[in-house]
Amino acid sequence: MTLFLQLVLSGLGWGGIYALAALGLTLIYKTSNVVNFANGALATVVSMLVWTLHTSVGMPIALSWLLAVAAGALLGALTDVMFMRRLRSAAIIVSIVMTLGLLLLFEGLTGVIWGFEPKAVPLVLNGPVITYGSLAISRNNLFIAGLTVVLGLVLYVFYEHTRPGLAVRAVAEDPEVAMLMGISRRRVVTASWAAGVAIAGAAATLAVPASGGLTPTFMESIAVYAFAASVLGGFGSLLGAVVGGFLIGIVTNLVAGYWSNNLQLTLVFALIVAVLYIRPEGLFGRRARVRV
Amino acid sequence: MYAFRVWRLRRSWVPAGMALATVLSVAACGSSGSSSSGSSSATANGVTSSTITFGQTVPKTGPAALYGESTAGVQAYFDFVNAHGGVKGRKLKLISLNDQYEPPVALQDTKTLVFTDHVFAEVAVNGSATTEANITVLDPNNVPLVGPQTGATIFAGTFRKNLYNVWPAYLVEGRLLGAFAQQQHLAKVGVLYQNDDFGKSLLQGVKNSGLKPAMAIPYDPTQTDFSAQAAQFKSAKVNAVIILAIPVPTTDFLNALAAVNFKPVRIMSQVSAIPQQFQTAPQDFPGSFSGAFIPPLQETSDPQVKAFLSGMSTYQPGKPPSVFAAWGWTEAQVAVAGLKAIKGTITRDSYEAALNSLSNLATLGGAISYSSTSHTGIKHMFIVEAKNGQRVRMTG
Repeated sequence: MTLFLQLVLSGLGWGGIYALAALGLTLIYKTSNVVNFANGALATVVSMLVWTLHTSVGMPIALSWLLAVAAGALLGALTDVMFMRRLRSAAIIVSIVMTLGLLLLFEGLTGVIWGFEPKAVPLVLNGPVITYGSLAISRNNLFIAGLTVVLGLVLYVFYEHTRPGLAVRAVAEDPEVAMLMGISRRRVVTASWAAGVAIAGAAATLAVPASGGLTPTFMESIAVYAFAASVLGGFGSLLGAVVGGFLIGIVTNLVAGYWSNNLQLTLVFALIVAVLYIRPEGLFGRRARVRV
Repeated sequence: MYAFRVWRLRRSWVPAGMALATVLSVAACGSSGSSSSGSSSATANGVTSSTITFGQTVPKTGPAALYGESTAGVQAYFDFVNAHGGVKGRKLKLISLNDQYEPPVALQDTKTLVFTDHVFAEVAVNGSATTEANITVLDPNNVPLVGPQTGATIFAGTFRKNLYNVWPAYLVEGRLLGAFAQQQHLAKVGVLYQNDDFGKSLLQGVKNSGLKPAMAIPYDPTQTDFSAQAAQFKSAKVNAVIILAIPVPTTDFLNALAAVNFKPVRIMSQVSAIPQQFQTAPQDFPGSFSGAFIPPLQETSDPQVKAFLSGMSTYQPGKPPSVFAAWGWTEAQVAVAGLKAIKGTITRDSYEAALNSLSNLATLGGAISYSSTSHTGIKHMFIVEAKNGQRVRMTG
């Protein structure tokens, strides 16, 4: 039982990171219908900025983190304006291929600018591990899980209970009608890219201290799990992204702990296949309806 | 209207084209981290009147990117030799390609080195699975490989005509690590090992020492989340964990142990116990030990260490004189010693005959002897302890 509880507790940290990264994907997908495969690479740029501000400039880690996340928002907005906006009228597949190109572009440029050797980024929240009997969870993991839940709630309130949130939903539901109502689709989509990259950047920076150092490609496997979390929860659903992320973090731990380490990814995707077979829209996604 | 649409469509492809072009150029830069330019002047076997060209595949990106630092060690030794007249009137050249620690990429790189760049031989190729990919091209074309950076049984335990081991066999290292754990009277020892020839060979060595691990858990080299494994070792209450992993997963695992407040003794393979890597790992662990064949680099009274540090600062200034670079320097020492021992024309056959004649060759990593029936690498290893970012010798 102790092992079970420890595996669940440990799963909250990485689950929170997957959930945050999935939230980033979801925000962009909600308004643009594009699965942004470059989100991990863009998030890595944010982490590199944290490293630069903290290590080279000497800023406190918390301030570096906030500034870099803000810069991440700017990077997301610029990516949309420079690369994605012109593809809006083209088929979605063109935009998706563009994000794959951007993934390689940003990974390559990050390597050229910052190098490929692993870099250390300190924990945002440090301190002794919290223990209860033989169970333990690090403060950083607890912070990640808490931040994910709070951010999920904030985004939920924003989308469901504010006028700007209503505008975003209107663009997501029917861009043409939204434009007729005077809502700028361009601004809404660009803002979504800004928020999506900023949140993914926060996830990446939180992941660095738990991983073997910051490298241009360190987000690749995390991005796979984030994508899986989005699909599991239902693409476009904020609640789905959060629940999907935590579920994947915990389930992979339980699979590795009780069954086989090598089957983690296999069983996660088997679970996704099973869920999609029963509920194609994912756990919390809305069923698409076509009215004639 | 049609023309407008076509114009719009074309405009929409401009950024896509720009992105693709940039990606291709960046990818090209990333994949060819060559220390020297291509070998346009090389003949079919990589030897001209003025140059001898060697090739290398090594990860410069990805989870094993740190190993790419070995290129600087090879290049520094080649530059040192070139500065002293070269070998038989020829300068040494190195073409080093990034294999990303991916066997399919290593295979493609090797084809490029052999069929396009026409290298004379390969040196300091990194990784077990990637070396396996290399030899599928090298063997049928009789291209020598000096110093694969692996001690996997598939190489170290099997005689291959054109492959010259430098590293100690993983079986030897595993046995050393297992014996050390027993000497420390650690009652319950767990093992984390990479699920390939590298990890399995080391694990076999550990078992050959007589140690019976309480549990042995495999991992995938691209894995980042080790929280389940940390919880398993904690739940099993092991006193020590023998970590048979590459650097990044090692650090991930150490961080996962710290996150569950579990601090067993760490005994690591020499491929993962890297001082730089400790900077991204928890610092407050008790004993941290590893196998080694490269002497601690602060032992400057050792003439081999002194020559290496001097060579790195002179010929590769700015590049870290790391253990990885020391690997490359050692392997280059063997490759060059073979060239110098050639009698008559420089051909691959005469090179292999010369390498076979090397006896008790002193290198940075230890003595090397080959024969026509044995290409075994360095035989002596010792234990070092990680202290304050340095490796401190514990056994002789």
